[in-house]
Amino acid sequence: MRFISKLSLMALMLSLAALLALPVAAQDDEVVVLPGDNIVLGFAASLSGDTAPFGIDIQRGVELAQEDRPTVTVDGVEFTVALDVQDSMCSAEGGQAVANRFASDPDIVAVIGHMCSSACNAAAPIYDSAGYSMISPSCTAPGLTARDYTSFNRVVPPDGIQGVLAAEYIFDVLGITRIATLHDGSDYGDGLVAVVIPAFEELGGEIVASDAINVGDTDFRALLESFAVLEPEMVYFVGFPAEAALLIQQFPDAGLDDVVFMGADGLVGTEYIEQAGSASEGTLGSAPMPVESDELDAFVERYIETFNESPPGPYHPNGYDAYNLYLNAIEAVGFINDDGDLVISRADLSEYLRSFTGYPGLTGMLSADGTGETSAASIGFYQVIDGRFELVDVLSVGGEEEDEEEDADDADEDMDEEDDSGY
Amino acid sequence: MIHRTTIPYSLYACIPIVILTLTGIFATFGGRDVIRGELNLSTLTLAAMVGITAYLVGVQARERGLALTVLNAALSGLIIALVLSALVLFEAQNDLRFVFQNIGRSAGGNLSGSVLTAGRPINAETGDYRGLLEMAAFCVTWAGFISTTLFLPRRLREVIFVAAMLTLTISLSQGQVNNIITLPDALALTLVLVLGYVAAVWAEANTGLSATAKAGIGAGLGLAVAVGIWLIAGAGGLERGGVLYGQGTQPVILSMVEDSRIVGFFIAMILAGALGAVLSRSSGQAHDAFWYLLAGLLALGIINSQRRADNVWIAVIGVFSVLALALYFVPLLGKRAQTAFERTPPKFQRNAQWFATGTAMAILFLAPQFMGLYVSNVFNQIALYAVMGIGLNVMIGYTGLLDLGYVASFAIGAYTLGVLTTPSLVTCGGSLPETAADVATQCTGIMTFWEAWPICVLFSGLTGTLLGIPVLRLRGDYLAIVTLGFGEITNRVILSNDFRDLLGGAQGIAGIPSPVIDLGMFNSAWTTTLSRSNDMYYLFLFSVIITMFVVYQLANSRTGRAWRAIKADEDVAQAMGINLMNNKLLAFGVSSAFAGLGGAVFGASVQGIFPRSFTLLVSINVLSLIIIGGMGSIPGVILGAFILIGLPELLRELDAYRLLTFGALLVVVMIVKPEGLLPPKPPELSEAGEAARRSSNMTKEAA
Amino acid sequence: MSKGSRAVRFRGGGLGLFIQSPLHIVGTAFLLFLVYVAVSNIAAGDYTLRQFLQNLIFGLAQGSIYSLIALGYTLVYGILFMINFAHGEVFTAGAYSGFFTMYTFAQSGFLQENTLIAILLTFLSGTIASVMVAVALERVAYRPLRNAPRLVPLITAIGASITLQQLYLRLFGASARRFPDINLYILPDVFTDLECRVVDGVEQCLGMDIIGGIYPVEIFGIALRLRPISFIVFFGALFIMWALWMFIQKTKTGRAMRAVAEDKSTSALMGINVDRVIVTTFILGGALAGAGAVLFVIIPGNGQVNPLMGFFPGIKAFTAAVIGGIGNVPGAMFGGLFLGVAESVGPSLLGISNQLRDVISFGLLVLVLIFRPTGFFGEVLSEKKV
Repeated sequence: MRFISKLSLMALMLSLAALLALPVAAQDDEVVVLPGDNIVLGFAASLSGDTAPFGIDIQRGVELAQEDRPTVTVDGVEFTVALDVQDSMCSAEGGQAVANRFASDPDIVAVIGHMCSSACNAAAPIYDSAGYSMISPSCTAPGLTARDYTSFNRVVPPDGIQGVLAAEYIFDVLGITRIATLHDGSDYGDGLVAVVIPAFEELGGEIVASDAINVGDTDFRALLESFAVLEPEMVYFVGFPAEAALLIQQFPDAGLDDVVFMGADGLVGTEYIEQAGSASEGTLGSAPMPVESDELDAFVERYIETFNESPPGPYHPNGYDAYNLYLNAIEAVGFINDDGDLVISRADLSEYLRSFTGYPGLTGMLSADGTGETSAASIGFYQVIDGRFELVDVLSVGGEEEDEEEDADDADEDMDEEDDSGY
Repeated sequence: MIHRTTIPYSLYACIPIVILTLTGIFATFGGRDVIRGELNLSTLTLAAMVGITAYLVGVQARERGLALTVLNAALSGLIIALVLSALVLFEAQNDLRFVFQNIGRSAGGNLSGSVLTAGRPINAETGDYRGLLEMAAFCVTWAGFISTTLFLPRRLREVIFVAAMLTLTISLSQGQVNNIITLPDALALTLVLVLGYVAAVWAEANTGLSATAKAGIGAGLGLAVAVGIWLIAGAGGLERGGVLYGQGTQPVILSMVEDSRIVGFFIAMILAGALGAVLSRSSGQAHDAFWYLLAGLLALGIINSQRRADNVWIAVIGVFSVLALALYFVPLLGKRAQTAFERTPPKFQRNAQWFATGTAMAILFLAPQFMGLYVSNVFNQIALYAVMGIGLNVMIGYTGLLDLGYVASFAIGAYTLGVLTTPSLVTCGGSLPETAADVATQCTGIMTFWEAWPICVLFSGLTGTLLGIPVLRLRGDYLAIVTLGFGEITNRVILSNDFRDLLGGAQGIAGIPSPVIDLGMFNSAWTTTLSRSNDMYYLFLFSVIITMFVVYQLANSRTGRAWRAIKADEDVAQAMGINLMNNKLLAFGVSSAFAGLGGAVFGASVQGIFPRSFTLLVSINVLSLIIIGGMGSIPGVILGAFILIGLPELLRELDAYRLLTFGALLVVVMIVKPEGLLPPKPPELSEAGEAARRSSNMTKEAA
Repeated sequence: MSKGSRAVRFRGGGLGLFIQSPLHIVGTAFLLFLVYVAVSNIAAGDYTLRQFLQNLIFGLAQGSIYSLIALGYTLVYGILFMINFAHGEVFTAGAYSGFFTMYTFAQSGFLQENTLIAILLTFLSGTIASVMVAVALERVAYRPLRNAPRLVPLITAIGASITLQQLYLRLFGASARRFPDINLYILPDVFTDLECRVVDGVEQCLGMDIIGGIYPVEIFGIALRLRPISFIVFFGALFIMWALWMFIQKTKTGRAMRAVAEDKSTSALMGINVDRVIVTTFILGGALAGAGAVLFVIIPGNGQVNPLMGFFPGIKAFTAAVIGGIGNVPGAMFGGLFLGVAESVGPSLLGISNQLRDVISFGLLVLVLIFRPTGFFGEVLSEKKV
C-alpha cells in the first residue's frame, strides 16, 4: 500500500514536470532591438593558444569593418552595431560551448565565425536548431556545405578549390612531378592534403610519400630522411608556422637542401618567416586570394597603420566582408514595427544570405550559390622573397574569367566526391 | 607595534603579485566589467590580492587589538602598493614587451593606465603621478578595511565572505544567467513557500494539528495565492510593465495562467505551498537545500529584472542581501526543522523524504527548460565530467590505482559510438560506400544511439580490463606512467592516417545522429530528437544517476571493501585472502566502462567526434576534480566537477587564466586539505559495517 | 629497492600464476614479430645502412637530451620516491632564460665577437634559471608534503606542472621564440676547404662551423651528412653525466645523498641535514635540465622556445627513466639514449608511419615493464642505487 502511494507521488511529480515542460514556447525567431539599444553580432574565433594569431587577425578585420560602418540605418532609424567577442578555440568543444552561448542569448542577431572547421562543424547544428545564421571567414573544410546546414555560410573558398589549384600550380606552373605530402594531423591539414593527392595524381604527378607529424614534436629529421630516400622534388606541408619552421630548418640534416618546400594558407603570414629565419627563403605558399584591388591595398595599409604590424594571418579581408554582409542583410530584411523597435527575422536573414548576388567585397565579387558558398575568389600563390611573402601567381578555377561559373560547378562536384570518400 | 611577520608576509605576497602583473592580468581583465560600469575585474583582482595579504597579516596581529591589526594590515597594503608602483615606474622607463608579451594590451601597451595607476596614465614629464597615489591609497584603505572584518563574529564573517563571492560570480556571469528566471516568478514561488512554511511553524506552536493537516494548510495557501495571481492576471497584470511582468523578460511560470497550462500552474502552486509546510519539519539537509535554491532563484530574478535598469548597484545589493540573509538564517532554521523532523513519526519522515526527493527530481527534470541552451550545456559538461570522475574514482579513490590515461577509455567509448552509428567499415560490411545510394543498400548495420550505447560501455570496459592485464603487477608511479602511455597511444592511433578508414583520422567522425526518444506507439507526438543541449541534458542526467547508483552499490559491497583493502595495503589485503588480480581488473573494467558511457554521450551531444578532444588534458581534468572534490567520495566528485568544469565555463572570459588557476588550485588544495573539499566519511562507514557484521554474527549465533 | 617499486607477485590468486607466464609469451611473440618486420623490411631493400646510421646519429643527439632530463627525475625519485612531474617545466625555464640571454647577445653583437663566451654565459643563465625554478618548486610545492601519502605529492607535481606551463604562456606569450643562429668557426688552418666565401674577390675559408655547420662525410663508402653539434651534444651530455656520477660517488655531499636515499630517518640521526640534501638534489636535477635545455635549443633546427616545449620531452624522459629503472643513474642515461634511438630508427625500420612514433616509445615501455617490472637496471643495481 505504502509502495503504491510512493509510486503515485512520483507519478504526480513527473506528470507535473511534463505539464510544465512540454508546452514551453519555441525560441523567438525574431530579434527585437529597442530604440537606443545595439544590434549585437556574435564573433567567434580562436583567440588563445597557438592558432590565436589567425583569430586575432580576423578579429582585427572585423573591427576595421566596424570602424568603417558602425551603424545600420533601417527605415530612417539608426542603430549601432556591437560585437560579442568569444574565444571558441580551435576545437569542437569550444565551438559547441560558444554556439550554445550565442544561441541562448536572444539579443544576438547572427554570428561571424567560427574559425576552425572543427568548431564550425560543432557549431552549425546548434545554430541550425536555433534558427541562427553564421558566416565563417575561414572554415574551409569541403564537407561543411555538403551537410545541408541551414545556418552555415562562408566567405572563403573551400579547400576543394585551394587543393585542386595547388596541385595544378605545382604540376603545370612549377613543372614538378614528384612530391611528398605531409600534414600536421589537424582536420584542416588532413583535409587539404586529401584534396591535393588525387588532384595531383590525376594530372600525372607522383606522390612519393605521404605522412603526418604530431603537433608538439620537434625532431622531424628521421622522417625527412625517409623522404629523402625517395627523392621528391617538393615537400608539400599543410599545417601551421611552428611546425613548418622546424621542418624547413631540418631540411639540411636530411639532405633536402634543394627540395622545394610548399605550404598552404596556414603558413602564409609573418609568423612563419619569423620562426624559420633565413631558412624560410624560397618557401612557397597558397592562400585564398582577394581579387587585387585598390580597396584591398588601402585596407591592408590601414591595417598596418592601425595595429602597427603586418597581418599575422590571411583572413582579415574575409572578416571584413562577413561583417559587411551582415549589415547589408540587416538593412535589407529589418523593419521598424509600431513600437519603433527594429525587428529582424532570423529566417529572412538566413534567406538573404543564401540568395544575395553581386556583393563587391574586399575578397572579390561575392554571390550566394544557395548552399552556403559565396566566395568566387581565386587562389594566390606566394613565395618568401627577401623575408616577405610575395605574390607570384594567381590561379582561379578554369583559369579563364568567362568559364568561372561553369567550372565552379565542376569543382563542387569534385568536392562532393571528396567528401564522400573523406571518411 | 609592527608584528614581526607583517613585512616578510607582505614581501612574500609581492612575489606572486608581481609575477601575475607581468602576465598582464590587469590588462586582460581591464575590459571585463563585474558590475556594469562600476567595477571591473581588474580592480577586483587587485582588491583580492591586497585583501588576502591583509587578511593573513591581520590574523597574525589580531591579538594585539583592532588598532594595531588595522595598522599592520594597512602597512601590508602599503608595501604591495610600493612594490607595484616601482614596477609601474620601471616599466614606464623600459619596454618589457619583448620578454613579457602580454604585459599590456591597451593602446600604450603597458602597465601605466591600467588599474595600477587608477586608470590614469602617469606622466613623467609633467610629474603627474596621481594615478599611483590613488592606487596606493586604495590598497592601504582596503587592506585596513579587510582586517577589521577579523573582529566580526566568525559566522557573520563567513556569511559575508561567501555571499560576496557568490554575488560577484553571478554578476560576472550575468549575461549567461539573466534569462533563467524572472523576478515575479521567483517572488511568487518565494511567497507561496514562505506562507506555507510560516503557517506550519505557527500551527506547530499554537495548534495540535497533524503534520499532514499542516501540509494541507500549506497547499491551501498555495491555492489562494494562485487564485490571486489568476485574478491579477485577468486584470491585465501580465502585460508588459504590469504588476506581474516587472522590468525583466516575460515571466515564464506566471504566464502559464493565460493559456491551457493553467492547470499545471495551479498544481505547481499547491505543491509549492505544501512543500513549504513540509520543509518546516524536514531533515536539515533537504530544508537547507531547498531554501538555498530559492535564494538563488531570487537572486537570478533580481539580475533579470535589472538587465536594462540604470542603477546596477540596486541589483548587486539586492542579490547580496538575499544571499547573505539566506546563508545566515537558513542553517539556523534548518536546525529547528531537523529537531522537529526527528520528533515526527517514522511514517511521516519517510513520506516527507519521498516528497522532498520527488520535488527535487521534478526540479532537476524541469531545470533545462528554464536554463536555456548555454547553461544547459554547462550542466552537461559538468555531468559528463561527473560521470567520468565517479568512474575514475573506482580506480583512484577506492582501489588506489593511479590512472593517468583515462582519456583512452573515454575515446574508445566515443569512437565505438561513432563507428556503430554512422556509415563505416563496421556498419557497411567492410567497405566504405562511394555514393549515398550505396550507403542505403550496404550499410545495413547502422545502429541507433540506444542500440550502440550499451556496446560502447561494454567495449570500453572490456578494453580497459585487457589493458589492465599487462600492468597488473605495477604499482603507483609505474602504473601512472604506463597508463599515461596508453592515453597517448590512443590519441596517436585515432589521429593517424593508418586507421583512417575505420576511425576517420584527423577528420574524426562527423554526422553522428542525435538520440531519438521514440514513444510513437503511445502517442504520435511523443517522439523527440535529443539534439539541443537542453534536451541532451536528460541523457546526461540519466548517465550521472546510473553511474552514481552503480558505483555506490559496488563501493558498499564486498568488492568495494576489497578495493579499499587493496588501497590501504596491497600485501596485507592479499594476505587477508583478497584476490588482487580479479579485484584490480574489475576496478579497471568498471572504471573504463563509465568512461565509455561518458564518451558515447559526449559523441552524441557534439554530434561528431574529433580526435583533438581526446588529449591528456581530459585525464588531468578528471583526476583534478576527484582530488579537489575528495577522493573516494561521490558528492565530492560532483562538487569538484562544479568547481573545475562549471565555474570556468560560466566565466569563459577568464579562460586565459583557467588552467593557471586549475594548477594552482591543485597545489594549494593538496597542501591545505590533502583529503579534498568533501572527503568521504570512513569512520561512519566502518562503524555501520561493524554494526552490520555484529548483527549478522548475532543472527548466525542465534540460528 | 623501495617498497613501491618492488615487483608484486601473485602468490594468492590462482589465476595470477597462470597469467604471469602467458604475458611473457605474448611479450616475446610481439618482440619476435617486431624483429621479423624489421628483417623483412631490410631484406626487401627498403632500408639502407646509410639511413640507419644517419638516424642513429639523430637519435643519439635527441637521446642525450632525454638522458639529461631523465637524470633529474631519477635523482629526485631516488631520494623522495616521488615523480617530479613538473621537471619538464624546469627544462622550459632553462630554455627561456637561455633564449633571452642569447637573443640579447645576438642583438648587441657580442655573440658575433665572442661566440664561445656568449655560449658559455648562455649555459650559465639557462642553468641558473632552471635551478631557481627547481628549488622554488621544492620549497613551495613539495616540502610541505614531505610526510604525506605518496599520491599527494604526485598530484601536487601535476598541478605545479600545469601552473608553470600556463605561467610561461602568459608571461612570455603563446608563440614560439626563435633561438638565434650561432656560428662558431674553429681550426681554419686544418679545415681549409670549409665555409669558404668570396669577400672582395678574395676567397676566405673560416674553418669548421661546429654549431651551425653540416658537412658531407664518407665513411666506409657510405655518404653521411653530419653536424659537428650532434657529437658535441652527445659527448657533452656524457661528460655531464660522468661528472654527476663522480659527484655522487666521491664527494661528501654525494655520500650524504646516497645515505638519505637509503634511509631518511637514519641519516638524519647520523647528523645529515636531510632538507639540505633534498635541496641539493633538486639543484642538481635543475642544473642538468637547464644544461640540457640550452644544448637542445642550440642545435640548428631545434631552436624554438615555447611555453609547452618541456612537457613532452619531460614525459619522454620520464619514460626513459622508467625504462632504465627509475632511481638509478646509469639506468636513466641508458634509457634516454635507448628511447632517443628507438624513436629515430624505429619508424622507418619497422615501416611505421611517423604519426605512430610515440606508440613505439610507449609500447617499448610496456614491453620492458612486462619483462622487467622495475626497468632494465632497476633490480640489478638496487643495492647501490643513488
